[in-house]
Amino acid sequence: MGWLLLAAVGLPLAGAPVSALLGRRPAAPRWPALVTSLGSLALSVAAALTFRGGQPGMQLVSRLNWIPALGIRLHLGVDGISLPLLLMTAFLAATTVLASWGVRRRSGEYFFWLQLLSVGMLGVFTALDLFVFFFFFELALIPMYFLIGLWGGPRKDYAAMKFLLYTGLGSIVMFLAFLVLRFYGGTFDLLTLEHTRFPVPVQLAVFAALFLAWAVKTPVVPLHTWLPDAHVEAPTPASMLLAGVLLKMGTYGLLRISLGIFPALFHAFAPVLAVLAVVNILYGALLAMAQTDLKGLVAYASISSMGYILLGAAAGTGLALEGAVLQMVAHGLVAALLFLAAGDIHELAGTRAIPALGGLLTRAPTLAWLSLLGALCYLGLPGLAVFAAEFPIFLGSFAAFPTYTVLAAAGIVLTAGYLLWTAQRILFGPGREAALLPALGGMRLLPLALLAASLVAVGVYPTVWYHLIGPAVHLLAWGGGAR
Amino acid sequence: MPYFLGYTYVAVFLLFGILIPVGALLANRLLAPRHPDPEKLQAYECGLATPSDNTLPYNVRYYIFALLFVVFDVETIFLYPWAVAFNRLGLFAFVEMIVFIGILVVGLVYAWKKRLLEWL
Amino acid sequence: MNLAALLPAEILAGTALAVLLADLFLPHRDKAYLGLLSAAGLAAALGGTARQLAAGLHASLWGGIFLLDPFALFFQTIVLGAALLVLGVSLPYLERWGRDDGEFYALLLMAVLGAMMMVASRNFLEIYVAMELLSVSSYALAGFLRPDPRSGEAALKYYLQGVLASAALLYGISLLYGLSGSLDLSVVGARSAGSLGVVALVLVAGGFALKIAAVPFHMWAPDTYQGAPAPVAAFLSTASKAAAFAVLARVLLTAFPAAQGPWQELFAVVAAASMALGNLAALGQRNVRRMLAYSSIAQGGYVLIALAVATPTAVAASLFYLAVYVFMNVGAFSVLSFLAGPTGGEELADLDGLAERRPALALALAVFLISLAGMPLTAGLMGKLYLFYAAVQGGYAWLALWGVVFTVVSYFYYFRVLRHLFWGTAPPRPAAPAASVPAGLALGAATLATVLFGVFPQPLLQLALHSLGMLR
Repeated sequence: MGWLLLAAVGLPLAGAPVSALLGRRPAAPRWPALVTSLGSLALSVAAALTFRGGQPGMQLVSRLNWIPALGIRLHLGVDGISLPLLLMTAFLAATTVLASWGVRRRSGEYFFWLQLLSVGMLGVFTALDLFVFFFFFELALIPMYFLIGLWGGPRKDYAAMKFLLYTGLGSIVMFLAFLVLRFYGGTFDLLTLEHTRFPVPVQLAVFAALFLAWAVKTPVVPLHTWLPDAHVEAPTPASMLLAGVLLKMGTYGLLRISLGIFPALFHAFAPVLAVLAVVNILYGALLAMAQTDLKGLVAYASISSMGYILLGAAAGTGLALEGAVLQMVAHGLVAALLFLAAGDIHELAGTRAIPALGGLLTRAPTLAWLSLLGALCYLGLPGLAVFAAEFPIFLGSFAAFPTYTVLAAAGIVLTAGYLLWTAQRILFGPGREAALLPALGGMRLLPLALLAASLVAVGVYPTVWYHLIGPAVHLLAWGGGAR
Repeated sequence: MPYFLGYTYVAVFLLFGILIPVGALLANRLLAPRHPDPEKLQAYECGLATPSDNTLPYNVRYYIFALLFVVFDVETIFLYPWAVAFNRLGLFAFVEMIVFIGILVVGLVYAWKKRLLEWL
Repeated sequence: MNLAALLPAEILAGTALAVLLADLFLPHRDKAYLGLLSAAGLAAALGGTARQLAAGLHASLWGGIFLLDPFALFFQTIVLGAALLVLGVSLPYLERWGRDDGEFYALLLMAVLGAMMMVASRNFLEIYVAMELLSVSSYALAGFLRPDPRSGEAALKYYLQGVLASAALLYGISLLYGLSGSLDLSVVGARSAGSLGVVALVLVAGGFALKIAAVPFHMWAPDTYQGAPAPVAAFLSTASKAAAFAVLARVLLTAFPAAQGPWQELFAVVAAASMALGNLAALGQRNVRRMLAYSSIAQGGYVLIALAVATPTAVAASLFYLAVYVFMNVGAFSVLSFLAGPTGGEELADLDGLAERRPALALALAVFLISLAGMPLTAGLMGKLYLFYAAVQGGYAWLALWGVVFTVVSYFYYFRVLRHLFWGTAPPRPAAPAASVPAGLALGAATLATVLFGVFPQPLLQLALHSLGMLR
C-alpha cells in the first residue's frame, strides 16, 4: 500500500503545472488545485484507514530508487507521529484552497505555488530518507517566498526575503548536518541511522546544527523574528499554512530526527529545551498581548503555543510526547482558523487594527461566533482540540519539570487574558469601522466552518488520536515511563 | 602541525607574488648605473635625430601589414625543414603542408576581401 | 586512426574556415545561412563526440600528444553543447545589433576548437597552443560589438589580463621543461619535485585560474561579462571555464598526483576566497549581468572544491556540476540577451514585471536562478549535493560549511531578481523582441535540462563517474 503516500504527495505536483497553464482564465486554475488537494486528502484518509493503529513502527512504506549513486531512495512511510500530521496537512491544504477561492489576480501562478507548497509539506511528514526530507523541507521555501511576495501586504518584499534567508539558513545547515550523517552513517536512511552509533564530537556538531534548523523553523525565541513579519504580510491562506504546517516541520524534525537519531544527547539537552520552551511561551504571550494588528496577535500567540510542544518534547514522558504531537495537530487547525478569521475580518471591515474594530457580533454573527470558538479553543477550553493536547502535556511534564510546568501554565492565563480581551474589543460593543460592508456569503464561511468542526471533532473524541500517537511516542519516551 | 605545513605553499605563493616585482624594481635601482643625459630621453630612431614628437599617431594599417608579413615570414620557418626532408616524409606530410598553407591562404583571402591590402 | 578519432574537431575546423570564406562572398541578406551552417557543424561535432563518449573511446594519438579518453570526451561534449546553446541565442541577438556577420560564427567555432583540443591535450605545448586559440578568439568575440565602447572595454580588459596569465603559464611551463626535460604530462610531474617545481606549478595554475575566474585572477570577469555580447559572456562563463577546469584537473591529477599534493591547500583557499568574494560582491550589483558575473566567480569557487578535495567522488561531482552549470548559466545570460538593447536594459529595474510581459522568458530565468541558488527540483541542488558531500567525505567539512553559508548569502541576490521579475511594477515599455525559433529551442532545452537533471540526476552522475578512468 506504499503507493498511497506516494500518490498523496505526488498529486499536487501533477496539478501545479495544470493550474499554471490555465492562468489565462482567472477562475479556472482553482479547480485543479481543489481536485488535487481533495485527492491528497482522500488518499491520506485512505492511508489512515489502512493504517493499523495501536502499534509502533513505520507502515505503508514505499522504497523507490532515486539516485542510486548516492544511495538515495524515495523512502516514504508513516507512523503514529507522522500520520496525524499528514492528515492535518492534507486537510489544511484543502481548506486553504477553499479559502483562496476568490483569488483572481494571477491565479494561475497562485495555485501553482500553493500546490507546490502542498508537495513540500506533505513530503516532509512522510519522508524517511534524510535527503528526501531536506528536499521537501527546502521545496516548501520557494512557494512561500512567492506567495508572500506576490500576494502579500505592504511590507511584503522585506518579509519575503527575511523569511527566505532565515529559514534558508536553517535548512542549509541541516543539509550539511545530513551530509555529515551520511558520511559517518553510510546512508541517508533515517531508520538505519536511528541504530547507528556516531563518534561523540560528530554527535555534538550534528545535533547543534540540526537544532539550529528546527529552532529557526519552530521558531525558538531568539530566532523568531522572521515569523511575525512573514505571518502578517503573507496573504491569508499562506498565513494559514505557515502557522498551521510550516512551523510544525521544525518540531516534527526535532522529534523525528534529533530525538530519533541522538536520544542520549537529546535527553541531556532536555533541561535547556525546557527553559527555551518556557521563554517561548511567556515571551510570545506577552508580546501577543501588546499587538494591535489581529494577524500579529495570532503570530505571537503561535510562538507561545509552539512553546508547549517544545515543553512536551523536553519532558519526554509518554504522556507529554503524546500531547506534544497532538498539540502540533491542534495548533495547526486552530491557528489556521484564527488566521482565516483575521483575514475575513480584514476584508469585511477594511482593517485589522484591533482598536478600530468593534461589534462584529451583530454585524457578522456567523464569522464572529466561529472566531470566538477558535479563540476559546486556543485558550484551552475543555472539549476543544487544544485542551485535548495541552492537558496531557501539563500532566506529563509536571513529573519532569515541575517549576517550568507551573510557569508554562501561567502562560495559559496570559493566553486567556489576551484572547478574551481581544474578543471583547472586536466582537462586542458598538461598531467602530468607517465602512459597513455586507456580511460574507455562505461559500466564504465554508472553510471557517470546516476548521471549527475539526476543532470540535478532535476535542470531543481525542481518544482515537491518542490511540494513533501513543505507541509511536512510547518508543521515544524516556522520562516518567508509562502514561 | 604537518597539516599547517601544507599552507607553506600558500605562503610561498604570496611571498613570490610580492617579491618578484619588488625585487625587479629594487635590482634595477641598485645595479643600474645612472648617468642622466637629455640625449638618452629621446626616442630611438635607428640612430637618426628625432624629427618630431614620437607619440604621433600611425596609420593602423601599418600594423595590419606588419601582422600579415609576420605570418608569411614565419611560414617559411616551417616550409624550409619540410622542403629539406621532403623526400623522406612522403605523401602525408605533403597533404599536411597543403592544409597548412591552405589555412594561411584563407586568411590572406579574408584580408584581401576586407580590403586590408589596399593602402587607403 | 589518429585522423578518424579527431573527426569532430576536423569537422569543426572545416566549418569554421568554410564560414569565414563564405562570409566574404555571400550577399548580406543571406548571412543567416552562415549561422545555420555553423550550427550544423557544431551539431555534427557534438554528435560525433557523444558517440565516442558512449563507445568509451580511449585513444592516445600522435605519440601521446593527444589523449581522447572519457574525461576529455565528457568535457568536449560539455563545451560543444554550451556552444550550440550559445549559437542558438546568438542568431537573433546579432541580427538585432546588425552584426550578424560570419566572423562571429567563425570565431566562436575556433574558440570551441581550441577548448576541444585543450581538454584532450597531454602535452604542455599543445595545451598552450590550444588555449591561445581559445583565448585569442575569445578576445575578439568579447569586443565584437564594435560601436559599443563597453564591448571594447570588455575585450581590452580580458586581453590584457589574459596575456598576463598566458605569460605566467608559459613561464611555468618553461620551468617545468627545464626541470624535467619533457613537456609530457605523465613525465613532467615525477621529475619536478622540489621548491622550484612548486613555483612552476603555481604559475601554471595561475594561467588556468584566470580562465576559471578564480579569485586572485577574477578581476576581468565582471567588466568582460558585462560589456561583451551577452551570448559571448555565456560562452566565457561556461565553456571556457569548463575547459580550463578540465585541463587544470588533468595537470594536477595526472602530472602532480595527490600523493604529492601541496596544491590541495592552495585550492582550498582559492575556492573559499572565490565563494566569499563572488557571493558578497554580487549582493551589491544593480546590473543583472554584472551580478551574474560575480555569481559565476562564486560558482567557480564551488567547482574548485573538487580540486581541493581531489578524490574521485569530488572530481566526478565537479564534472556533474559543470555539466548542469552550462545549462543554467548559459540560460541565464541568454534570457538577458533578449532584454538588452543598445541602451542597456539589464538593470534590476528593467526586469520589473517581466512575468507579465514575457511569461516564458521570466519562467526560464526563474528556473535558472533557482538552480544557481541550489534549490530543489533543479539541477543546481543535485550539483551542490554531490560537491558538498564529496567535501565532507574528503575531510574538507569546513569547506562545505563555508560553501553552504555563502549559498544562503546567494539566496539574497538570486531571489531579489525573482522579486523584480514577478512583482516589480514596470512602466509600460516597448515589448522585448520576439524570440526566434533557434533561440527558443536553445532556451527551452536549457530550461528542460535544468529541471530534468534536478529530478533525475542519476544518468548524468553515472556518466560523470564513468568519465574518470584516466585519473588512475
